[in-house]
Amino acid sequence: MVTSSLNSMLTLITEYGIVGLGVTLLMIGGEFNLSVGSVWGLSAALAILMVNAGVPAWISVIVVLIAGTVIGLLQGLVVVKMGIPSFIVTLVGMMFCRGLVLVSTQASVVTMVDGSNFFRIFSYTFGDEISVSTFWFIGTAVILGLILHRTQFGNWIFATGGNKVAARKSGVPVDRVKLTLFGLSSGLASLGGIVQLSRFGSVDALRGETIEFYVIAMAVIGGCRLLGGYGSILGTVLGAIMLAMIRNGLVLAEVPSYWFNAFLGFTILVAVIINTTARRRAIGE
Amino acid sequence: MNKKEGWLLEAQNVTKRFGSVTALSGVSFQVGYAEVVGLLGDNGAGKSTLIKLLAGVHSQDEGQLLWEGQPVKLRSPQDAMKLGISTVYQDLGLVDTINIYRNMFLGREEAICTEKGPIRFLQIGKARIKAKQALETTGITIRSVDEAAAKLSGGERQSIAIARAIYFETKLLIMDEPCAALGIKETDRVLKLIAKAKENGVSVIIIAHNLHHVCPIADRFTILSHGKVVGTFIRGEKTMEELSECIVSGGTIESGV
Repeated sequence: MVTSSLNSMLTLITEYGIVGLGVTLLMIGGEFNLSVGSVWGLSAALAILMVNAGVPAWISVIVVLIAGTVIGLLQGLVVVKMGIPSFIVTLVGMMFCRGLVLVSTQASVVTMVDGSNFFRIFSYTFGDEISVSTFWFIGTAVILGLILHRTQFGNWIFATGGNKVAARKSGVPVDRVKLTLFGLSSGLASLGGIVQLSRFGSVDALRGETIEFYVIAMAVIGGCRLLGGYGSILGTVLGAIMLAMIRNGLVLAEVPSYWFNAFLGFTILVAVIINTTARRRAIGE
Repeated sequence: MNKKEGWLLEAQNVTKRFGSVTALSGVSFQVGYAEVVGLLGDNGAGKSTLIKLLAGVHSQDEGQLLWEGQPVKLRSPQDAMKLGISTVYQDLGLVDTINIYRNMFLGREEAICTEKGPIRFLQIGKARIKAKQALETTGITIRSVDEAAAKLSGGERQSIAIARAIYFETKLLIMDEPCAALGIKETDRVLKLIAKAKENGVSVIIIAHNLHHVCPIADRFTILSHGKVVGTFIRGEKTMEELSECIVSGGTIESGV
């Protein structure tokens, strides 16, 4: 019981967390991405269809990751060049990509015909407990944490989300920063979809649905400011752990799983109240 | 500081139109080396348009700009920055959600970065020390450089913008209404900083419509009205009342230059 619980917690933290990290950077940069759940599902569907059509697994994965990134970049272009709020653009992206998932799977379950060994780089499990994907998550968190808090580009992300006009006047390429973050968040959604696909070996039409809200929940629980300019990678990692703890805590306490969203909602409320107080002290908003 | 001859920046017969509106028509304007020039005029006189040309935000339709005697084209704020022109805007251009040292080096991170391949890593320790030094040499005392910009008062924000300009060896500092939102004490402090910048050889253009904010420190005044220069005066040439009259009337007293 304890073993499987740890395993399922790590799985949730890892798979959702990878997406949450990208969305966090984008939110700090002042934008939303609601299409990550659909991109997740679409990526899984595309990968499986390619593998089933005989394309080598590693090529399929690379193609899908690139496609996921491009979908993000395209949405970013519409936001940056046409000045349409990302909330709307990525809502459209979410619907459009979900439509593609439905079309490509014909709304039924598609199973990988020949389970390629290649996917074990995401799904191999050490001693039935810790999946190798956990290290993918940790690696992503460390790299993105370094970029956000310790590089010039990270400084630009904070400045872009905090005050776009001041950032631009100081010489920060605001549009390029945002585009990069749209691409990154979408590419990581693809990666999340592929990691989960590696575990399941199948895809259905609803794959990845509502993930967009869970990852925003993670970021917000972790202290991310909804309007941008403030947040951290560590916060989102803690947010992901919190999310997994609520879900598994309810299972262990034998509470019907229907309660999950209600508990999560309540947790978000409490976290936001605490975070807002802390932030008021730090940046006086 | 040896004062060099000639003009640091000169605008010759500059005209700027926005659609059917002529914001500036045939304006000539000069700034010398280590000189403080007050650019005065009522609302809508064209002050903001003129400084936006000098800062590279807009480009002129007619006329030309000379930088140290050479014709230049400023296509973007980056072009102006490269020449050594820094602009401190009325809204101050600081990012509230990030701390002081991150603000100080924003857009100019190369001063505090080490490059490893394509990635520029911030050296936080170095950034904090350099930010402190820059503030100290300009005589600014700030509680901590780790504090978010949102926590600063108007005068402190203005001070940091000035310190940033001096630190990056700006040659020309353009300030849009630097004292508009400040109290008496803070105004005094900002004026002292401007004097300090001049001592360091920096030329300053101050845009103001309140004479009391520029009279104490400006070497020269240029008055704009309805997009035209109506007078340029050396300090002491006119009394404050006469200058004030000139701004309001749009140039009925004669220029002595």
